[in-house]
Amino acid sequence: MNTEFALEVSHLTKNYRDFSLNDVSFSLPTGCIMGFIGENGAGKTTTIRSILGMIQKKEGTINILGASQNECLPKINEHLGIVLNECTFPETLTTSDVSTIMKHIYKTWNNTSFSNYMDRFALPKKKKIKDFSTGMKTKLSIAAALSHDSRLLILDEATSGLDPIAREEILDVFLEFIQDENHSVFMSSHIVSDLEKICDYITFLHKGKILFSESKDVLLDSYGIYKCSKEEFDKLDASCVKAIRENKFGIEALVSYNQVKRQMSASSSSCMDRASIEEIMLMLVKGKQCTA
Amino acid sequence: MKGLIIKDLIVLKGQAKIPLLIVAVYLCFTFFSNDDMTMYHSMGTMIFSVLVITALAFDERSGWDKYSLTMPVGRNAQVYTKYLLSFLFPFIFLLFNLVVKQFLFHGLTIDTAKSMVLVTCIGVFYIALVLPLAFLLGTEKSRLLMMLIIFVPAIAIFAYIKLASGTISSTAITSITTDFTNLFSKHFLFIPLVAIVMLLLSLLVSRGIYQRKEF
Amino acid sequence: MNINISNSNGQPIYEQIFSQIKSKIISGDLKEGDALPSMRLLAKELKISVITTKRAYEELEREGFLTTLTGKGSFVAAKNVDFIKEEMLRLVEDSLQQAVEASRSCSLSLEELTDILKLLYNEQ
Repeated sequence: MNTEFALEVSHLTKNYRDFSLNDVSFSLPTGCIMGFIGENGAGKTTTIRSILGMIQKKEGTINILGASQNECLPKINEHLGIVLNECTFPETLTTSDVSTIMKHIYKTWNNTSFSNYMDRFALPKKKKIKDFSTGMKTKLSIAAALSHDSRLLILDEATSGLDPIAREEILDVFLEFIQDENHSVFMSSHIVSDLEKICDYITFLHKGKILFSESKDVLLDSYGIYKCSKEEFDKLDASCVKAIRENKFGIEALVSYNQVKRQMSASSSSCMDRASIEEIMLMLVKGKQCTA
Repeated sequence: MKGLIIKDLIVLKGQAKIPLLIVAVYLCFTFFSNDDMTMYHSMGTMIFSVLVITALAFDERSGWDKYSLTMPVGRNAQVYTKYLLSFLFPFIFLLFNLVVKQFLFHGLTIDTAKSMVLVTCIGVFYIALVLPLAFLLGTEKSRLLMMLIIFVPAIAIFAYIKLASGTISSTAITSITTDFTNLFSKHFLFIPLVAIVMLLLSLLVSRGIYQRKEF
Repeated sequence: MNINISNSNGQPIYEQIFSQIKSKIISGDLKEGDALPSMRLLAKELKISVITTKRAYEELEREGFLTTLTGKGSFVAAKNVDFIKEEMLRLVEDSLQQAVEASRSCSLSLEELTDILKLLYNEQ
């Protein structure tokens, strides 16, 4: 099943009473990791639910691992590894129970693999899930998602409840997963620093709309945070400014790094730094948008 | 689908301890007081009929119902599993009791067997009404409705008896019951057939509900 | 093979990888035919995007420093001797230019400068 894109979402639209997803489109090339970011309430979970067929979409097409969602979804599910932001196993089960159950659900279930993850994550085999900590529950879900022939991992805020050390462990696991170039990862998170580390692509959802879906390197190369006075700001070419925030002592602007670097004079007190993904997100959400 | 059944069995194994205990105690009670099995069989049937609702509640609470949509089992499997179990539990209980009646309680007569089958069919009938509601509204919200489905017919029957015979007396109840029993005796095989058909219709309705359900 | 990436020195990561691998090839640390780590392995170990390592490798291939065989991996290409010589020459010129400017600013004569150069050359 060698397809160019592991996940393709086109013109996804879904309306609720007080919220809508509007014409959401993005594509995840096979072999890459895509980070899905957005503030709380932006619609990330709604998008993921639409992708997984949990809710009906009003419009749009979704292709998963090359197959249309409307068609053979159960068959494709054999190759999907899903981790949601809650532990989705009934609490009275133990990890051995989980293994017994999953063996009969997935044709490609690999018990050895699951066992290895249990050991690696230090998860006890006989304890009931209700006695697990949040971190342990997440690790269990991740282990289950990786213990059958998953080609696409979809994670919805899976690392949000973990401490930094556990998160690093998990990110390592994802990087290992990606070593096979037929494997891809789609993860939503609001811990942007995690995504910045390992993602190849970043898609930003804001109030139900996609603001950008771009290679991370391009984003980090293109944007800069320019801090200057009002007068210096006015001298700038309007086309290179994307958003601004004013404070009592000057202006902070999200700009095109290369364009502004050229226009900067050596003598001014203004300064320009490369923008991190988090800063880009903050500026686009909280700053005043500038459309040239 | 096998995996889903196994999951429900494992989950219910943990939950079934108390109901099983109640039923076992009742059985002993009945044995030692040499009473007929009707109360024990009726109560046990009700308990086992709705055990499936407990499994459904667990699914909802843990988010397994959402999670299973991402598995290679298909939406319908969730529904089929619950219906299979909702039939098997009371059915196996019935078989068990028929055997117990034969060997421990002075043997089985045709009439006793028929009344036990009737009770099981009522249980199946009840779960056939209740499961679509549970799939539609969720187990929490449908709980009230589930109670009403028992109480409203019960009240209606009492009201009928009162109207029909002026007073609520045990002789009146027995005579009405005998009337009905005689009516059904003639066409007895009709009853299990109706129960199974109801269950299948209910399955189709639930399947439709579940297909459209949003999580 | 040692590769160290700085997140804060302003230079794009793919450029850092590119120059570090290139200098290892030029200096002879990496010899012709040596296998380079796969792009994905490098990305995983350095905890960076696979697209970044891919870009670095593509640049290196474009400049003739490595060849990629599908299914087998990337290998150090036969050294482009002339090209490297040119690079080294440029380095020498730049460094000498700096030495010349420094000498002028402290009024060192050409003779004195040549003496220093002879000393340094013979030392190593």
